[in-house]
Amino acid sequence: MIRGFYETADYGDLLIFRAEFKQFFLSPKCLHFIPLMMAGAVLTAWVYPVASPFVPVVIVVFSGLEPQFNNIFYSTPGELETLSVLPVSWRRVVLAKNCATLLLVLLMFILCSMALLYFSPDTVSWRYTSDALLYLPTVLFPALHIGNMRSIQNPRRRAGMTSTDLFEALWMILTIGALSAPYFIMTGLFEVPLLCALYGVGMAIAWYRYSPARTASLIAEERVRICQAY
Amino acid sequence: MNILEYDEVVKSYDNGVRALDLLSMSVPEASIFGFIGLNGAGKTTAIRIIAGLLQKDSGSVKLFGKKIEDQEDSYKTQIGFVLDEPHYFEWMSAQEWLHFAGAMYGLSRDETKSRSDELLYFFDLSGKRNDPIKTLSTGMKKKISLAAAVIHNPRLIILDEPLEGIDTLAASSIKESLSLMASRGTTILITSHVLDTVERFCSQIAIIHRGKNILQCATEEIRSRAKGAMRDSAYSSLEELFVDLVSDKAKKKHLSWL
Repeated sequence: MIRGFYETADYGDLLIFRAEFKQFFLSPKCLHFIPLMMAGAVLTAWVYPVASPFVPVVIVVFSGLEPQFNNIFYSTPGELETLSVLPVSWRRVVLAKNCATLLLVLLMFILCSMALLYFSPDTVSWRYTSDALLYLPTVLFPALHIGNMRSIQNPRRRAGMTSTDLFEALWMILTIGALSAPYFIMTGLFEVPLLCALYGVGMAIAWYRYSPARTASLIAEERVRICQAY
Repeated sequence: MNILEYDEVVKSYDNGVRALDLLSMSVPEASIFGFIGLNGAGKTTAIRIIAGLLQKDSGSVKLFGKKIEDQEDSYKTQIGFVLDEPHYFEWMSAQEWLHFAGAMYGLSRDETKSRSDELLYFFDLSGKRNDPIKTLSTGMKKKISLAAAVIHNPRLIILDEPLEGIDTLAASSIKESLSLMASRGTTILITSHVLDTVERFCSQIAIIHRGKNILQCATEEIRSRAKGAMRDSAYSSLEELFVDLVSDKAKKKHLSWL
């Protein structure tokens, strides 16, 4: 799947991917991780041994990267308008942006784990790590699709430290909580962790085949309405 | 052949303002077309409809002989835009943005890079190529917009106030290069408040007032147009014609203490 995308990706796709990745670190959005990490450190020290020590990592990563999921057409102010003037393929724009978000999640997950697990009162076992790696794809790909839809239904021209952004971050955490249900059913009820891997792969395939195309057709219809509201 | 045609286009905003009121206008191919009007006359609205940023209420807009709604976004590969509001990513450098725009217009990596270098040199931006756009002056930002609009050698270039904020030397070289492009078959639609420039630079003009096209003619016809009811004299400039056409329609104002 990834190879298929790479083979057909042209120079423009790679530039969109690079721009999406780079803008995150150049914008004040990455500073949101400072207060989130502090809260995450407290949570890591407090939550154990009630749940996995990776729970605070998941909360910090997904709430910190919330605009990358739920506001993909305004990663920078005026982005939708700027892209609208150019002859872009919206499917490829969404795909490149989602791929950049995937990479950001992986990167921030590693960095946040390294920082937050330091505060864990006990050693983090390999079991917890493998569970976290099984868990991540089960929520990541559905979250990308939900975020793509939300980016069209509820676009924010400017994302920052406002009450709306706080609400969206909370909404994101609730969404991730709801999306975690299949994982807990497969591991807790059926006790077959392999199902999680299959479910994750299935979600990835479903996202790749359906979500960018669906988002592209919706943005083609809704783009003018969103731009006109400016 | 007309490259762009508006046919009885109507556009009203949510606040009730009727920005375009049955606007009809046609832009001939390979012309430099001056689109002039007062602030709020509807010029930007007309342009933003082509750019895909606004939806018309009724009427039709044809580009290259086809209605824009039947072409999806494919027609944009043949157009370059410089809009009133800047459309670029301010955190990018000039070079990055030109590479980005070139790639979006479908140029190959090598073409994009060589054309970007040429454009940066042409607009005297070589020394600022790696600076973030947000740190550059208004004039430089305008040059970057213009460079991105011509990087793919479009058939039609739409420029909304392109020379505003640009120094005289740069404006002169821009006008020269636009004239060269027009002589090679590129159509240029330009809005400007500098009527002297429009008169000297454009081959055709259209005057829009309260959303309607009130006059469209060749620039050379302006000085042969009869003035006033007596028809005993002609207009000496586009500015005189423009003021005459719009001043009786616009509300005259004065300051009480002057």
